[in-house]
Amino acid sequence: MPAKRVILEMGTGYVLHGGDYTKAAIRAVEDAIHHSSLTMIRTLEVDTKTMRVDVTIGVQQPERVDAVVVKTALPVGQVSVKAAKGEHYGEQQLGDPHDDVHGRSSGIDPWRGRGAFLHPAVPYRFIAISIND
Amino acid sequence: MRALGDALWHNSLTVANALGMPTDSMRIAVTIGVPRPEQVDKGKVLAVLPHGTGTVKVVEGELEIPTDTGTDSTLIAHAAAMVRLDLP
Repeated sequence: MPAKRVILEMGTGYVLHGGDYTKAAIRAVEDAIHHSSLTMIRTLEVDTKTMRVDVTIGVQQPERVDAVVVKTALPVGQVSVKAAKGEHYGEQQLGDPHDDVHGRSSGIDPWRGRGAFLHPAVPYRFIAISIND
Repeated sequence: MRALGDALWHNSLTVANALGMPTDSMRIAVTIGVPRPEQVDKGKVLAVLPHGTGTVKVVEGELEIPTDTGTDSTLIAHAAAMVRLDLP
């Protein structure tokens, strides 16, 4: 049976210090999933084992996101996690905040990663939940 | 209105389409929590909903935090949007 998408959930996560991309990604996932209660699962008698949950994390350095760890943040479903390069939000958000050559202190640069960032024009960075027809 | 917008735009709900139903067939029951319910313009809150038909209930709740001078305040509202579909 083909799976159909029933909801797209969006969220943002930050870590203020330390540059842990995986931690930022997990916070983004938590933010995304905790804005909704998926009552349709019960209403439509969906078996959560067959439910597909596709997670896309948008960050500057996708290779620094541990997808296996992020996966554990999703409570149910067949979960897939992929990290993609996210958007740039201005010069000060690029590069490594630990790099003092650029005049930034690691202590004051709050940006390390965004996950599932809401941007209506960009059709990725989301958690898409699909159920079987 | 902002609280409802915050609730709505963290999600894109495609379940109606997935079930082959028009998005305007959704019925949305909105509950707003504010300290002074009588001051909420329900019509404006309803106008935020992009699809379907809605109802608004306003209850007393949440916070209003006055500034130091007491001439203004920060208002915190909560919104819950319950979406229903008539299923065959």
